[in-house]
Amino acid sequence: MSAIGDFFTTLSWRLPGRRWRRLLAFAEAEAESALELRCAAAATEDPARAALYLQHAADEARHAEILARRAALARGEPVVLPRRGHGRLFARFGEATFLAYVYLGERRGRRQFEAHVRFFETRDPALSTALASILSDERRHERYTGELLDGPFAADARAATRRARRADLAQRWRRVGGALTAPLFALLMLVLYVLAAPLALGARGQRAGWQLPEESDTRAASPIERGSG
Amino acid sequence: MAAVLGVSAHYHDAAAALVVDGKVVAALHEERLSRVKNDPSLPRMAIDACLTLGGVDAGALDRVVFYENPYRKLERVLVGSLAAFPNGAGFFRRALRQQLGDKLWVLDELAAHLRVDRARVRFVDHHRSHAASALDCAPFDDAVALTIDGVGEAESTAIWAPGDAGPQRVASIAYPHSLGLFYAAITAYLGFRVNEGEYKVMGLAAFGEPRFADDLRDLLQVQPDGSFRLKTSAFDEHLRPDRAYGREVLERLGPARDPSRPWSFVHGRMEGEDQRFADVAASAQRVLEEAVLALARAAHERTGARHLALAGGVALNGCANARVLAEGPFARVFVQPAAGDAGGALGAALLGAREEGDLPRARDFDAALGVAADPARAMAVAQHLGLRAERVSDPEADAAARLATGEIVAWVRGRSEWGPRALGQRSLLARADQVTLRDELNRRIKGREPFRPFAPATSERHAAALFEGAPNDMTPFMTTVCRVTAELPGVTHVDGTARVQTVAQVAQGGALAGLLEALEAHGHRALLNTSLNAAGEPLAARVTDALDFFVRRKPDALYVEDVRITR
Repeated sequence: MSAIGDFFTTLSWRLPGRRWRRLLAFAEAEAESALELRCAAAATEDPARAALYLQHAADEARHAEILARRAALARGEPVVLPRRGHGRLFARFGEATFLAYVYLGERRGRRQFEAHVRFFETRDPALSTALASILSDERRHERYTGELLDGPFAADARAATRRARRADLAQRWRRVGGALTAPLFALLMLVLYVLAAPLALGARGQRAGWQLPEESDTRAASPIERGSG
Repeated sequence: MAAVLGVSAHYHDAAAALVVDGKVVAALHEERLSRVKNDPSLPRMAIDACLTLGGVDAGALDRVVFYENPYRKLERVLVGSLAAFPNGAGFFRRALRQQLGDKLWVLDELAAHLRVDRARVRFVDHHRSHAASALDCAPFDDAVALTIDGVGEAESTAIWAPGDAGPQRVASIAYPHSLGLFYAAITAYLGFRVNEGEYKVMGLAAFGEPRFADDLRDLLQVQPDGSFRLKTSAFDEHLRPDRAYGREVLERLGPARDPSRPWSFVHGRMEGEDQRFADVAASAQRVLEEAVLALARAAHERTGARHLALAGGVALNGCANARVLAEGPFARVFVQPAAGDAGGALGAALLGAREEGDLPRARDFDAALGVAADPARAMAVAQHLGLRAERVSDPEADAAARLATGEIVAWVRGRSEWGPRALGQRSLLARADQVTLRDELNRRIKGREPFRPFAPATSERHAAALFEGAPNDMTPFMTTVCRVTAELPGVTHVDGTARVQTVAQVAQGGALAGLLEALEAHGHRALLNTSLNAAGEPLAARVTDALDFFVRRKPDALYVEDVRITR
């Protein structure tokens, strides 16, 4: 990676208070990746690839723990790793596209981690060493997923890579779109809330105590309540 | 003769259940397949797995039933946020984002996923789903159902009488007067995740003294008619769903616990500030039990039924269930293993079957309703992982010999469990008589809070000799606790109780029955039985999940049916 590339990749480390947050974000990404890989291990029919995905998932889970620990150290107090879902890539796109997606992600991660390791070499050698241990796994992951794409999935590799790039782009677009539209949505909802405020006069609190069916089931005769949808 | 799929989703712990000709043929939590703990998303994987397990094509489904009314739920959420004007603005925004994002379209989503006519997708009431799962799966007649949770559409608690058309509502209590909300607030106050850490509160309670009980009784007042009144100003759940407690709770109990701080638990005792939190847990547990007991008495007075079936998230509180059985007016009490929202999927499917003209046949309820173990695949994947995998002629005797020497064994047998507890299908096992093993399990293998107890499993015929009041209708599913009367320090909680599982004999298909028999030859009549997962992870379902656990957490051996896997 070029010096300019290095600079942009490591820019956020230079901002005050960003280090622990970025490490935690890395930990989250690794934890999410571990979930994807566990699902892939269960879904693939080939036991050899299932084993590779399980080993990869174990690596990612370990990375998440290392990074969360480093985030806590950088913050100076414990951190809680937020729990997230995952993209269910294997189920949505099939194994070839899943593999291409993982391969592209590992390649991108390996390049970024190379820059991070260089950045912290003199600034924080302990963190640099921790990131280097992850980097060596990232290289192995990039290599084996690349070999699978060139091997059993060679016939579909090119198309799968295109689909993976599109899926990645769509995910980034949704993330950026969500971030951009969130303030607008918040404003609209605030306006709607204020406009609906007069209805609050009619919204009385529920009384405590037992309610009998005729009291609690005032709309029982409506088709929706009967469940006809 | 109908095939009906029940679904719960979009709150927490989504699930699917399939009922064919009135019989429950499959039921699965989405988290077991997605590997996301308490996964709330539309349970596409669980739905597909249920259909595969039942051999039913989606097009052949007579009915798909969602477990609650999404429109009434939206109404309650919006009215609640407006009633809190102007403090409800943030909640209004979050709620509308969720509702418009997916919750409101859940019936269309289901129809699209299954590629079935939208008219075949229906819904039923949340608490009615719970009630059906309780009444139809209970092993007795002459019963009343009591459903207690945080909130359904608009009610938090209800009494149900059985009827030809399914459960009939006798009386109910409206949200926000809610025992689930009360306990969730305490769960959040103690630094645990709401809708997940409630059983940790129950475990923590045994280390405390209920010195805050009077304070909490002021906030949750049991009424002479068995109902209760929550001081809603102290529980602003609708404003902070991740927190639920208000300023008055802090004034009465002191500052809330920081969830990121490790527990000060030394030599089996809480220390320092954490003793106060244990006291809060004990107080909340005491007050909750009093309220549940009062509700049970009210249910009996209103119906005269001899037996009780409990459901809803609060029914997973085994200590409260034990008090209802011991001190309540009912001869028998039953709680099906997935009593929480996941169980709503089961109830919805049973209600749909009834509407299709089938009489539910779930009296001999068996929790082994998930995916099957595949030993051949386990062997193949294990060998690619560089593990030693071999067939053994008598896995029970083989595993028993290992357990007797103090090894920790992962056990995968038959179809995976329905509900949050490991019932021998996907279990982690050890001797029940060694505290050192318990501590090693908590620290090295499970990575849980140090105060958390482990549960025992024993055969039905030895249960009475080891545990007071066992077996009963709840012990097969670990939905109650019993006092331990034998020397089993590895599974006896600090208050002298254990959440025991009683296992049917081999002929009845109990997943641990053969192993328990084999262990008797080594002088042991009980086992430590905990779920095959690490802290914060879902219970294992497929063999790759078990292998993933084995590789990372390193128990001594893994048995998948007759395949033994070691390093």
